[in-house]
Amino acid sequence: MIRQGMAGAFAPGKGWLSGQVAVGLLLLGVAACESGTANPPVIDGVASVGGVVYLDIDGSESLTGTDEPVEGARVRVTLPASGTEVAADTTDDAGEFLMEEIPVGTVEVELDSVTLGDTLLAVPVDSARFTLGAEQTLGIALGVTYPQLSLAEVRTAAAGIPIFTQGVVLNPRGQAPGGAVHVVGDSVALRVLVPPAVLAAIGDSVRIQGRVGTDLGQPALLDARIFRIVPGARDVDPLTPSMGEAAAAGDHGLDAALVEFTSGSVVSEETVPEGFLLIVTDGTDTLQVRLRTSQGFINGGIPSGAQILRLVGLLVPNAGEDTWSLVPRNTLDVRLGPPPGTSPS
Amino acid sequence: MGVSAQATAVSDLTGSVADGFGDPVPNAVVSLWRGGSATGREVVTGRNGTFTFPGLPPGRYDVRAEALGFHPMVVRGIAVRPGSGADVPLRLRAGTPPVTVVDTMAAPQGGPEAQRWLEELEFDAPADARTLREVLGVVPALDREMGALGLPSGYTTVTVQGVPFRSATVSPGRQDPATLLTAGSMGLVRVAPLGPSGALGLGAGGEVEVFNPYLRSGESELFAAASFEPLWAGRFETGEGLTPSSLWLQGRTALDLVPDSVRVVVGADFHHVERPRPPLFTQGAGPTGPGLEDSDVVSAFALLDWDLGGGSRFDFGARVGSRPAVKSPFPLSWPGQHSGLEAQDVTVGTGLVTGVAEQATLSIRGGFTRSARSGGEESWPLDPSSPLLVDVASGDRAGVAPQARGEALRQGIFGSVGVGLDAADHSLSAGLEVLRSSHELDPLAGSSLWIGAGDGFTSGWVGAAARYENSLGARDFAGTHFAFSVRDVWRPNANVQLELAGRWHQESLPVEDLNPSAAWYSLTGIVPGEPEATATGIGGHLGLDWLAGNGAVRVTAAAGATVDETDPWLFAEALALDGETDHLRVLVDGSGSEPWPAFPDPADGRAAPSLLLFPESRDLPATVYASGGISTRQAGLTFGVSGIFRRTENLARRVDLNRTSVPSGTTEAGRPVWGMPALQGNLLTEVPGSSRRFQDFDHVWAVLQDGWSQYLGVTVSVERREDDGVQLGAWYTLSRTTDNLPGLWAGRPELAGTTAVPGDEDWSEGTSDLDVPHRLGAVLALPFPLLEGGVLRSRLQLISGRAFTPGFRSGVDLNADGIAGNDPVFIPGDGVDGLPDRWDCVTDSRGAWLERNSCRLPWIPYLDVGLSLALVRLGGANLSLQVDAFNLLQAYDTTVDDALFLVDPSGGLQTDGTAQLPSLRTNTGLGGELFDSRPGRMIRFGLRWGGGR
Repeated sequence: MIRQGMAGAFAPGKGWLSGQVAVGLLLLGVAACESGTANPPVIDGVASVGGVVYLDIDGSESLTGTDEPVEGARVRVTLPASGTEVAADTTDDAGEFLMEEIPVGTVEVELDSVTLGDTLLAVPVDSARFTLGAEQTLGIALGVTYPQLSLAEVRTAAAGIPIFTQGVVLNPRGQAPGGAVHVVGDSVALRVLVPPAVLAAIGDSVRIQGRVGTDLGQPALLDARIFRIVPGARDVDPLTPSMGEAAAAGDHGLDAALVEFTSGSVVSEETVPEGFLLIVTDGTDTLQVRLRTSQGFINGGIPSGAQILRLVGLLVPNAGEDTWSLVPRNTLDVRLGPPPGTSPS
Repeated sequence: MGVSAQATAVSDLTGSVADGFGDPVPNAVVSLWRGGSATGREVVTGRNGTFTFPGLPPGRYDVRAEALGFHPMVVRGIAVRPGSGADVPLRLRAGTPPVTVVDTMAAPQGGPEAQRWLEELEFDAPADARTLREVLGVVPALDREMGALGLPSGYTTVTVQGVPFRSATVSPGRQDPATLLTAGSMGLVRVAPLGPSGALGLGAGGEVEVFNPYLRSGESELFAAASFEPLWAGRFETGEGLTPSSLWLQGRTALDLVPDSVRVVVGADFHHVERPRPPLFTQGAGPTGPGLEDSDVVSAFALLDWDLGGGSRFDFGARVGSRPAVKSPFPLSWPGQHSGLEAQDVTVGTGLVTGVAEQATLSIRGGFTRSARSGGEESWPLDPSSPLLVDVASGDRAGVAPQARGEALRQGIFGSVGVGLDAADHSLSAGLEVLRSSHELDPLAGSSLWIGAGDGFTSGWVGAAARYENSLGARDFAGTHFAFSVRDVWRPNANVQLELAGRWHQESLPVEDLNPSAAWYSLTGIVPGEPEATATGIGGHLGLDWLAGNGAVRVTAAAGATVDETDPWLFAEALALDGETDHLRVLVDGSGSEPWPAFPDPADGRAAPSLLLFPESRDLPATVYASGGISTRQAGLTFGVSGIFRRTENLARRVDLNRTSVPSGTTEAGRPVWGMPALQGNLLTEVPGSSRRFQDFDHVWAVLQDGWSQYLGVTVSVERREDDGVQLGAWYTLSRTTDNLPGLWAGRPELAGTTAVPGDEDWSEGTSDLDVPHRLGAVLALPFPLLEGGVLRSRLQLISGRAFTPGFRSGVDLNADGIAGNDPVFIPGDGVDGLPDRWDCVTDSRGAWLERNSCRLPWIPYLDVGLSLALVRLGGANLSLQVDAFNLLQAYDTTVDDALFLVDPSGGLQTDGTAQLPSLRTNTGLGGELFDSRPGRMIRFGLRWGGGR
C-alpha cells in the first residue's frame, strides 16, 4: 500500500512568510499553479514468521517424528548485520511460536540463547537469513539439542550436564544390575541408567540423552533415554582382558565393558540374595562373577576348580569397593567344565 | 491586409524620449524602420528630449530609442497616416545598454568549483530571440548546464524589474515592453561570476550578461584585449614567472546586403586563456610539469533580417560555440574518466512575421538547438605525489568525493505560432508553442572515493569507494512541451499600465520507458500506480506600472505564478536505476588492493541494484512571486525601495526507502544509527549493506515533491544620473533564502530528504545554502578628468560570506545509513573543547543539534575599476582604449573546512547509548581553508573600435 496524503500546497516553512501568505498570493495572484506534495511511499507491508522449536532427538538436524517439541524457547527475529531484534515469541507446550506484523525486509530468525540455558544448543542451519515479503508467512522449524559427546567424553564430563551420546548396546535393560544398559563406543563403555520398558537389544546403535552423573562410584548416564537409531547394527565383540585387569577395571578403562574369558577356573562359590557369587581366577587375580537368579542362574553347587570354557559378562563396579564384578547377561554367557580329573557333569 | 505604402502624401513622425519620471532624455539615439525593415533612419533628441522624422510616407514604422544609462526601447507598428503623422512618447527605463544584467540571486556563492564553472560556461540565447521572454529562455539551459556539472539545477533565479523568472517557460505576460529588443539582438549570453568577469553591471550576486550584438547599418565593432593576473593567488600556482593571462578578440559587423531589405550581422568571439596547470595532473598524457594550460573558447553567430515588403519580415539566425575541456583539480575523477568538460553548441532559429490586418500580425517561428557536454576525451592520470592529494590524505583530512557526471547531449526543435492584436487601449497577443527536446544523459557516470588514511595514495590506503556497475551509459529520451499563452496590456491612461497574462503548459515524458522493479514492489507490498505521462500547469501574471503624483513617484507591482518543467536529469536517473544497475560499494583495507588510483577489486565489495522510483503523480515545480517597488526623484537623485517574494514548491527531494526498519542503535543524544559502522582510518562508513532493509537492493530512492525554496528580499537604492556624465548608484539588499534542500548546491540530491534529527521533523528546513542576507553595492561613473571623452567607472560590492553547516568530514557517514554527509552534529551541553571564540554559531547551540547553515564566512568584498579613453576617430568610428582592473581587493571564495568534529582513528568504536560510534575530537581548524582557488587581481587592456557612441 502506498500511504499518500495531500499536504498543503504550500506547507509552512521557516521562511519569513508563511505558507498561508503564499496561498493568499496565489489566490490574489493571478492564477493557480498546480501543486501538491505526496508523502513518501511507506513500506508498511508486514509478514509473519511461525513454526516449531524441537529437540533434535535423533540428531538429524531436521524435524522428524522422533523429535519432541520444546516449550518455553524464545525465538527472535533480528536484522542482519546489526542483530537488532524486531520481533520475538516464546514457544507453547506444543513447541509452536508465531510472530505477526513483522516489518518486511531481510531478517534472521534465531533462538534466544538465554532461554535455552547453558545446556541446550541451537541446531545449526545452513542459512538463518530470510527475505520477508509483504503478506508472506515464513514457516520455520528450529531445532535444539544438547551437547553431543562421545562416551569417552561423557566419562570425563562434569556431573549434572545433559548431553547426547551414541553407542552400541551391550545388553538389554534387565540383563545388568540396577536397570543399567551398557553401551560401548569405540573402546569405551558406559553404564546408562534408564527407566523400565526401554527397548534396546544387543547390537542396537542407539542415541542416548541423559545427565552425566556417577553410579556405584563410576561415571554413568542418569535419567537416560535411549533412542534406537539402527536396530541390530552390529555384533558386539567382548574384550579379553585378564581377570586381574577386569577386577581392577577402573584402572584399565574397562568399566562397564563387555569382557570374555575362555580359561581359568572357579575358586569358590557362595550364595547371595541375588543368586550365586563365583570367585574365579585365571592366575592373575581373582574375579567375582555374579550369577543372578533373575537371569536364569538357579542351579548352584558349582564345584571348586571347575574349568572356565567361556565366561562373558559386563564389568560392574562393586558398591563401596574399588573392584569390579563380572555380570553375565544370561546363561548363554557362561560355560563351565568339570574340574580337571573329573567327568563332565 | 497590411497598410499600403503607395500613398504619395508624406507626414511627420514626432516623439519624445523621457525617463521613468517623465523627465526628458537628451542625446538619445532614435532609430526608425519601416514596417519591420532592417534599415532605417536615425536622429538624436535635443535637450527637451524630442525628435522628429519628417517626410515619411504613410505606413507602419518601428521606433527604437537608446540612450546611455537606459535600456533600449522599441515601439513597433506605429501607424503614420497621410496628413496626420504620429506622435510617439517613449519612456526609457534606467539600465546600462547594451548589457542587460540579470540577477542570479547569489548563485555563484557556492564555492570555487561553482565559480570556476560559471566562469567558463556560456549559454546560448536563441539566436532569433526578440523578446525578453526568449532571452530568459537561457535560464533553464543554465540550470541544466549546472546540473550537468553536478551543480544545483533548477535554482537559478533571474530577476528583471523585481520580477523573478526561473524558467524557460516564462510567461509572455512577463515580457516587459520597455526591454523589447530588436530582432536578433541576442547573440550571446554569458554567465559572469563576481570577480574578474569583465562585467561592470549592477547586479548583486551573480549576473547574467546579455550581450546585444545590435548594430546599426554599416556599423562594425572590434574589441581586442589582453589580460594578466600578476597577483594570482591560487595555492596551486606552479612556479615563478607563470602569469595567468588571456586574450579576447571580438568582432561583429552589420552589412546591408540589399539596401532597405536585407541586413546581415555577423560576429565572432575568441577567448584564449592560459592558466596554471594544477599539479594534480603533472603525470601522464598531455602537457606535463609546471606550466600554463591553454584553452580556447570560440563562438560565432550570424543573423539575417529580410524585409519582404508588405509588412512582412523574415529572419534567420545561427550560432555555434565550442569550448575544450580544461583540467581542473576538483572534483577528482578516476583516471580514464573525465576531469574536464568540453562543450559544443549549435543554435539555429528562424521566423516570419507578417501583418494580416491593419492591427493584427501573425508570427511563425521555429528552430533547432543542440548542446553537447562531455568529459574530456583525454585520460589524465593523477600525480599521486601531488600535494593536493597528500594534503587530503594526511593527518585528519579524510575525504575526497569525486563526482563525474558524464555525457549530456540535448537537442530540440521548437516552433510557435502567435497572433497580435492592437485595439483601443489594449494590446492583445496569444501564442501556441511546441518544443520537442531529446536528451542523452548519463547521471550515473563516475565513481566516488573516500579516503581515510593512506601512504601517499600509492599503496595501503584505507577508505571506501563506490560506483555503478552494469550501467548502460547515457539514457536517451524525448519530451514534448506544449504551451498556450495569452497576454493583454491595458493602458487606460498615460500614467497607468496594467498587464494581465496567463499561460497553460503541458509536458509529456515517455514514462512507458520506465521499468520499475517488479521484485521490489512484490517484496514491499507497495502497489505501484501508473506514472502520469503528462503533467500540466497554469501560470499567470498581473502587473501594474503607475506614475503617480504628477510624475514624482513611480509605483510598480507584480504578482504571478509560473510552472517549471521536470528535471530531465531526474527522469534520466529513473530510467537508469531500473533494478539492473548495481551499486557497488567497496571498503578498502589497504592490504590487498591495487595501489591507488586503481579502483579496488569489485570482488571485495557488495553490489546490489539501486532504484529510483519516479513519482506517479507528477506535480511540476511551481513558483509564486510577488514584487513591488516605489521610487521617487528628489534633487537629482532617485530613491527606490523594492521587495520581492518568491516561493517555489514541488521541487524534487528523495528519501531512501530501503533503510532498515529500525535502527541498530541510538546514541545518547538520540541519533539513530542504522547500519554497522566501519572505521576506515579517520573515515567512518557503514559495513556495505548493513543499513539495507532488503539485502537484495541497495538504495531505493523515492522521489518526493515536497522540496521548496523561498526568497524574500528588500532593496533600497539611490541613483544619480545627470547630464554632466557623473553617475552614482548605491544599493543594499536585505534578503533571506530558505529551503529544505541541503546538498543541492553540492550536486548531492540524496541529501535532501534523508536527514533526520530526533525531535525535529525535518532538519533540512532552514537557511538555504544560497542564502546571502546582505548585499551592498555601489557604482560610480564619471568623466575622466584628464582626457576628453574618457570615462572612469568603478564598482564596489560587499556581500555576505557563504553560509555553511559545521559537521563532519567529507565521506563520514556517522549514522551508517549508507549516505555520507547527512549527519548533523550535536553540540554537547558543556560546549566544544578547543574551538576558537569566533564560532559563536556553534557555541550558542549547546545541548542541541546544530541547525543548517548556522555559521557564515566573512564578508566578501569586490572592487572593479575601468577606464575608457576615446583615442581617435577612425573610419567613421571611435577607437578607444579600455583598461579594466578587476578584483582589486582580491576577493575570493574558498572551500572551507566545515568539519567540526573529526573521527579519531585511534579510539576504535565505542558504545554511545546503544550504538557503536568512533570517538570524536574537535577540529580546531573549523572554517579554515581546505583548498584555495582564489583568482588574482586581473588587469585587462583592450582596444575597441566601432560603436559610434
